[in-house]
Amino acid sequence: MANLARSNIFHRKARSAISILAVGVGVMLFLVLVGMSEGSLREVAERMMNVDADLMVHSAGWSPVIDQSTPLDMRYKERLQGVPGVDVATPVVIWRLVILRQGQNIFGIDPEYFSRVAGYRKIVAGRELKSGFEMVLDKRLSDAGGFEVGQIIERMGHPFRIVGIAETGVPVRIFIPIQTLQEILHAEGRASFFFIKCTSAQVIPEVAAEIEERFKGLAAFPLGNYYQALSGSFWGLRVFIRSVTAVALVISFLVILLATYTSVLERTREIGILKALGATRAFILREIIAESLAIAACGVILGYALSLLAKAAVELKYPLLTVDITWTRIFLAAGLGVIGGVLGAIYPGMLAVRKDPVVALSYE
Amino acid sequence: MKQIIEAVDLRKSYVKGREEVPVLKGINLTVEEGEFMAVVGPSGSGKSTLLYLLGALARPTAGKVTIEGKDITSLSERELAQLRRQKIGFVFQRFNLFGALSAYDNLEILSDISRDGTVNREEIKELLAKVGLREKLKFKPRELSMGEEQRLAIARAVVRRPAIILADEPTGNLDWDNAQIVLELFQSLNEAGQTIIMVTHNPQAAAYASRVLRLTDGRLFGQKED
Ligand SMILES: Nc1ncnc2c1ncn2[C@@H]1O[C@H](COP(=O)(O)OP(=O)(O)O)[C@@H](O)[C@H]1O
Ligand SMILES: [Mg+2]
Repeated sequence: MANLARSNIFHRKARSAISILAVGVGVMLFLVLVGMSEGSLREVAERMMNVDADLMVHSAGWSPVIDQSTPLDMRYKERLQGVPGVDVATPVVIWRLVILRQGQNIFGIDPEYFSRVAGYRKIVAGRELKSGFEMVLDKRLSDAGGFEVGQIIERMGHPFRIVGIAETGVPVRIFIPIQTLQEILHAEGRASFFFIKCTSAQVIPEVAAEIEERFKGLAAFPLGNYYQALSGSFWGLRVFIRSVTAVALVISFLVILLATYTSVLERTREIGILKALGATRAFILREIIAESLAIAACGVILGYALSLLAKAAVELKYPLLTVDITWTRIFLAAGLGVIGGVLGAIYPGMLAVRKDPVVALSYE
Repeated sequence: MKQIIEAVDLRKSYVKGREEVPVLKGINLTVEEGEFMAVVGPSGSGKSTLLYLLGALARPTAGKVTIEGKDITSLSERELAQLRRQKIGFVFQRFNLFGALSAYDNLEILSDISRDGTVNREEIKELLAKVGLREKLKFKPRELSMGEEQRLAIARAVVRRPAIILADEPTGNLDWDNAQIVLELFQSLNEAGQTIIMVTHNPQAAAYASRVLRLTDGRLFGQKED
C-alpha cells in the first residue's frame, strides 16, 4: 500500500520537523508552566504536612498560611495541653526572611521539639538548634546557596551561625530558636500558633472542637487540610495558576493548530491532484488526519522529552522551585496535541476538499 | 462507432471582479470511442477550461456534458469522484505527480483511492516498463527527467483503463525529442483502442491526432478531417 501520509512526512522532512517541534514546544509550555506553579505550591504544602502534628491552633481570623504576626500568649501551651486528647502543644513564631532573592518562611521553635516539627527528618550536617543566634537550614536551601555549617550569615541585624543542615522535607527552610526570634521581634512571650499532636488520630475532630469551645477566639485547623488552605487562601495565586493554565492551554493549542494548518494549506495542490484522480472527500480527509495525527503524536512525545529537560533546567537554575509533571497533565497535554493537531488539519482540509479540483490544482 | 463523450452548447464564464468574462461560448462536440482528438488554440483561448469541463473537474456555467450517454453536469460530488475514478485519466502539463511517492507508488496509490483492486502489482510493473521506467520504479519524481515524469503521469492516467484520456498540453514542458516520445506513446495507446482528447497550442503535436479542432473566440471549429 502506498502510504501517502507517511511518505509525505518523510519527504518533507524540514516541514515535518518544524511542525513536530511546534507541537512539542506547545506541549512543553503547558506542562512546564502549569507544573511549575502547581508543583511549587504542592511542595510547600507537603513540607508543612510532614510535621508530626495534627492541628495548628491560632487566633480565629489569623491565617495559618499567610499571616506573620504573634497574636497568641505563650501561656496557652499549658492550657492547651490540659485539653483531653492533646499529647503535645508547641509554640511557633513564623516570620519571613529574604534569602537568595526569594522570600522564605522561617520558624522560631522550641529547640526541644525540633525533631517533631522537622517531621523527624535527619540532620545531615552539624546539630539541632540549641539557643541564641543559631540557624538550621534545610538541605535544599543550603545547596542552592552553598551554605555550610559554621558559616555566619547576617539577618535581621544580627549575625547567625549555621549550626545544622536538615534533610529536605522539613516544613520551612530556616529554623531559629523561638526565644531569639521573639527578642528580635520584641514579642517576648508571644507566639504565632501552636502545633498540637493528639493522642490518636480518631480524637482529632473532638480535640479541635473542644479547643474552639474552651478558648473563644482560637481556631484549630487540621494540618491535613493545609494544601487546600494554601491553594484556596491565596486568591491571587489561584487566579495566577488558573491564568497560567489557561494561557498555556490556549497558546499551545494555537501553536499546534497553526503548525498543521499551514502544512495542510501548502498541500492544497496535492489535494487537487487527489480529487482529479477521483479520491472522495472522506479519503482525502482521512489522509490529512492520518498525517497530522502522526505529526501530533511525535510532537507530543517530543514535548514530553522537552518538558523533562526544561524541568531539570528550571530546577537546576532555581533550586527552590519545583516542577510537577503529573499523569493528569501528561494525558491532558496529549489531548491538547492530538485535538489541536487534528482540528488544525480538518479546517483547511475541509476548505481544500470543497474546492473544485481545478481551483485546488492552480494553488501555488 | 460508439459515441463516448458529447458536449452540447457548453458555456463557461469566469467572474473577474464585477464582470463575468465568457471563456467558452457554446461548444458542441462529439467524440467517438477510439478517437485521438486534438484541440488547438492560442494560450488563454480556454483549452484547459474545456478539458476540465469534459473531465468533470469543473462545472459548466450552462450546457451539458455526457459521458457514455450519461449527463455528468447534474452529478453529486460523490458521483463525480466515482466518474473520475472509473472513466477518466488526466495528464497535465505540470505532471502533478505525488512528489513524496516513488514512481511505483504514484500508480499504486490509485488502488487506495479506488479501493477496488483494479490495479495490481504486475500491471503496474508492466505499464511502467512500457513507458520506459522499468529501472526506475523506486525513483521519486524529482529524480526523473521531465520526459520521464510525463511518461509516469501517462502511465498513471491509463493504469485504471479509463474510457477517456484527457491530456492538457502534455508536451508543454518538454523538449521536442521528449515530446515525440510522449506523442508516440499516445499514438500506440490509441492504436490499442484508447480514446484520447489532447489540447495543445503546438500544431506539430496536434499532427499526431486523428482529428484536430481549433478553439477560437470561445467556439470550436473543425480543422481537418481524415
Ligand atoms: N479559475 C479562473 N478564474 C478566472 N479566470 C480564469 C480561471 N481559469 C482560467 N481563467 C481565464 O480563462 C481564460 C482561458 O483560460 P484557460 O482555459 O486556461 O486557457 P488555455 O488553457 O487555452 O491557455 C483565460 O483568460 C484565463 O485567464
Ligand atoms: Mg491551458
